[in-house]
Amino acid sequence: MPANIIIEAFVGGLLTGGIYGVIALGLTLIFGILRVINFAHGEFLMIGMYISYFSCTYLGINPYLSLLIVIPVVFVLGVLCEVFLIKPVLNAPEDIQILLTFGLVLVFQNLALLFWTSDLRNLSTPLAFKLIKIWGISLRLTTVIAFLASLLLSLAFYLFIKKTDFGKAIRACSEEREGALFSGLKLNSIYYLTFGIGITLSAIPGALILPNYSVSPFIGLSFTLPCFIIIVLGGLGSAPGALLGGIIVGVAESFGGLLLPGSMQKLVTYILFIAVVCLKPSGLFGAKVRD
Amino acid sequence: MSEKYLKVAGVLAILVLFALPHFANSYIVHIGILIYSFGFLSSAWNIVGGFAGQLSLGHALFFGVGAYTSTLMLTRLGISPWIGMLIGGMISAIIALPIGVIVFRYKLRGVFFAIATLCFAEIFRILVSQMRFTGGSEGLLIPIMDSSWINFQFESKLPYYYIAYIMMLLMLSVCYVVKRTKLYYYLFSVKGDEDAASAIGVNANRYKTMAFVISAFFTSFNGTFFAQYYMFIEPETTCAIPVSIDILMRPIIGGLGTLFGPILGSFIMTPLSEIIRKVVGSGMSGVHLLVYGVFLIIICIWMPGGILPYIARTIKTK
Repeated sequence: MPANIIIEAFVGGLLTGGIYGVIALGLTLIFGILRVINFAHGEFLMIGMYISYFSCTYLGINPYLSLLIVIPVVFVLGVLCEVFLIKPVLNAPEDIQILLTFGLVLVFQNLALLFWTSDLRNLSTPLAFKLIKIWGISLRLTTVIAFLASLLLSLAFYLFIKKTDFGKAIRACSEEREGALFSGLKLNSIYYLTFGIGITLSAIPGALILPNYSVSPFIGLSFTLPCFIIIVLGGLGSAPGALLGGIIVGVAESFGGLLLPGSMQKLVTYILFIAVVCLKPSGLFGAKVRD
Repeated sequence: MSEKYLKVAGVLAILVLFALPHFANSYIVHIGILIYSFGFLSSAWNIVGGFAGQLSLGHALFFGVGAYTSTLMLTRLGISPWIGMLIGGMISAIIALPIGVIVFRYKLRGVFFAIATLCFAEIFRILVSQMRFTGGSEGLLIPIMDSSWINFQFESKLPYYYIAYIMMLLMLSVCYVVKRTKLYYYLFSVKGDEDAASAIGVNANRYKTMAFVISAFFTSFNGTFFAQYYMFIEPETTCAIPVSIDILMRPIIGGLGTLFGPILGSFIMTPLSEIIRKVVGSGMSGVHLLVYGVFLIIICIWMPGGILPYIARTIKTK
């Protein structure tokens, strides 16, 4: 295999990995604060992609400008989901929470199927075919933009968590729920805002990758799964961990794609998930089990 | 007193359902067959999902193994599907054993267990749809043979109805027996608090694996039944994710971990999803899954644990 193909696969995986990292960041944020594992995380990405797709095709705007529509719509959707659906099960056993978010998966997937059919839709913008060359490696411009935007987004998120009052409140909640309550923080509003932010962190990359991806109602799982792998790899609530985990998954998938025929590429993610959760069980629940 | 009434009602229900096909048209008989096979599958799933509290999202794997084993044995070797059914069950159990050992050995719980089982099922689906041997993604047709018990093929729906019915009743008895063994109490303690159960010496991994293997063994049987009833199997209808969802939805709605919950769930959800499919037509295949999702959310928020425990609670408080 020629060396430049390998390098291109590596860099390609790296770039996708950065995007995975941001999506996973939203998932760990929600788990860190609400203690709920959001099975429907990838579905919100799918919704973000569809909103972006329709605003581009009907309003004729630039794909990146569609973020101005995606962000508020998905944020409000997330807040509504938290208030009406997640909040009632916040103190329920874990099974119930899993099943509830799994119900959300079914509802979103099949609503999308009902309204938008199972057709693969993609924006056929000329932008998607633009290649740029960096040190002899040709890369898609849109992937590079999505990666850089993801990095920026994680940085912004990091600053938001570390520097703002609301970020401080969020950290307080994740560390000591009752203590936060005693110091007068309004947990309810923190919960729904956090859920909204977490969901938006999943939908923004959706809009960013739309120029070189096709969207269909069942695309969610192929993002939810890598996110769970990343959580196990990178640990909870850590932005650098999520990015690093994302890059590992992205590169592994990219190499798998090189070695396997198209219809079997999904095997990589499945096998990777099993391997990672088994080899590194000290991830999400490891600490809980050990102590 | 009320228990006596319940028993009488139960015996009556068994008799009425036994006589039903002689009064009903073939569509009702078809729905009946589906209700019983899903009742069987959900009861089998309930052993690991309800009794042990491990939400498996990958039971399509065992369903698929059952369907493919008996069909391949019939088409390639000419062996009766009944024997194929038994061998399929054994293969499922043999596959489930290492999966259970690995998954529980590495302490996968909750959502990670669910996704790991989903991954195993999806790996199986991809392999089946890639291999020539299993007919690839086009699937396998079962050749039409003489209508006889040995061939597991009948011209009328009636024998299928009784096979499905008896299989469900047998599965119910298996669950009843399991509920009276020590295994059930071990599982019950593990489900309640695994760390506490381990602390008093319950080998949680061993019993969870046992439940998983038993559940897989029986789930596989219905795969064979499905193959013989529809005479056609393909990866999408036997081992894809929607099959797993179909299986686990009924116990969750009826009553997770209860004896009759899965059956009740099947009596509610199966006709409902069939009616939806009939009303909206085949063009919009996802509508019944949408209804499942709505039901799941409603159950989780208003009656966690399922309908049966909810009814029991409301009767008690009155």
